[in-house]
Amino acid sequence: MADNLITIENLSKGFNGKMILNNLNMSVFRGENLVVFGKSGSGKSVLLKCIIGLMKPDSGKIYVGDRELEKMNSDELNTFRKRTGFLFQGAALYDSMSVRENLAFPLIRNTEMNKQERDKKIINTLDLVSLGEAIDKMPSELSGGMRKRIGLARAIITDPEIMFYDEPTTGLDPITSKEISELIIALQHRLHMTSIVVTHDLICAKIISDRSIFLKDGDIIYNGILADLAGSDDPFLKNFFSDEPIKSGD
Amino acid sequence: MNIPKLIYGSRLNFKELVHNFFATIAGLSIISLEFFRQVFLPPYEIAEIRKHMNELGIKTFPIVSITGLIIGLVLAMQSQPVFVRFGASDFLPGTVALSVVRELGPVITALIFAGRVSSGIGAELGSMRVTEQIDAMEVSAVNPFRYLIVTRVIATTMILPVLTIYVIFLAVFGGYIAVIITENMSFAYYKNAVISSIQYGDLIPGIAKTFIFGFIVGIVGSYKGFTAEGGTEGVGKASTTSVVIASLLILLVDVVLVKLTLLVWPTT
Repeated sequence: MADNLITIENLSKGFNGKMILNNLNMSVFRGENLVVFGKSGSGKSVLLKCIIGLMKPDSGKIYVGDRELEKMNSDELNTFRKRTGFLFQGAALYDSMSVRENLAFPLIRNTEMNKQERDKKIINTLDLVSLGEAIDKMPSELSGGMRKRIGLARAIITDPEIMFYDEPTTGLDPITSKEISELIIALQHRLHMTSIVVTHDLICAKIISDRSIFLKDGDIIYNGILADLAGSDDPFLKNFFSDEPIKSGD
Repeated sequence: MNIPKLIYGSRLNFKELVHNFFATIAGLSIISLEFFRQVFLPPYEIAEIRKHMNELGIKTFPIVSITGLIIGLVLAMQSQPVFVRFGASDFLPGTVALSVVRELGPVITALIFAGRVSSGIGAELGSMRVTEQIDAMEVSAVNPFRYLIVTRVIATTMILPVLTIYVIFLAVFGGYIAVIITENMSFAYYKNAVISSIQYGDLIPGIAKTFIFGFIVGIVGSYKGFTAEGGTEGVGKASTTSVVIASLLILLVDVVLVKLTLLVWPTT
């Protein structure tokens, strides 16, 4: 329990009468890279949004350390959020702001840095994601891979303790996808963060994962290392990770 | 016969329509209360408010300029033959000015402003909602309500009265253009006739209500955008419904305010 950074107990969340997460129990350990697998609509993103407080669970408890998320007031919730970074599926860059302004946004509001310090931090962070030249570009001028990198830069600019990645490689070509995955692991080693990565990209998971869980029907059906998950005898898991066409009845 | 379907071209039944109507009223009430709760809390985001005021002013400046000139021009052109027939041409400047100051200027500017700005805010915030930009703001420990809504509503509330005063001046000038086409009236005479016909009881309520109209435009656009869902279709819906609701509310609130004005200034 001492290493538990996030503990989830009996978490349930449904939409329009359909349960997406059903009495889910799990823990995230400090310093690990946890990959969350599951089919589309299995509740992976919902799980992330419940942990960060963007969605309110129907029932169950989420603990950050030993503090229950539900019982945090808005100041405490903001303090928790300042310790986190979130890379959204579509990067969620602010359209009306340049790359520089996107990165400055959390710094202006959450730190005491002056303009010089902020500029230095922005340039250093952009160098980490190898996109220093994009500093004065608008999001509409960036490619999908560049947007993800800038989104990642914005998420890590406040040196978060916990990183949430929602489908970090979706919609990218295999090479860019691999580059983003390697960037994530490089940043993880450099900044010593705890990461929760929602994905169904096996290559990304292979690069990132310390531990994997698999969500199905609102609950975890597998919890362990990726090699065992990919080699599982369970017909559903076998089919999920198989290159072969889906057999009827599976 | 499904009347709502005929009117709205949608699959909404009457029950859903009534539900949506009351849900919108409730939503607008809640968001308005939240606005007044948050507007006095720091950080004040002055730079953002100034930016929105500039953008809104620049965005609506050309269309309200044309509208203002045309209101005065058409009003004077339509009224002039009647005034001439009754030998009351001298009353024309005052009539144009009073109509524009008390009603036409504020209401038409507000409606134009709603069409241009409420839809813009609805589309912008709706797009931010469906692309998770608002969520991104929230997880950055920034209050999106204060940053996105409070700043925009303050900007619309402050800029509409300025635009209205500008429109009133243009409309009165437009009236003069219409008059001099057919009559030999000096600008000094026209100006004096206008000034002497307008009292504080005409000017103050006319301008004061534009603060309320500006608030309506901002709050409706923000509400529809902030609560948008369903991808690009949701953004389009937020944009169009913002204009419809804001325009209807402006007209309804105007009726109430006119009645209130007549109670406060019964002689005007």
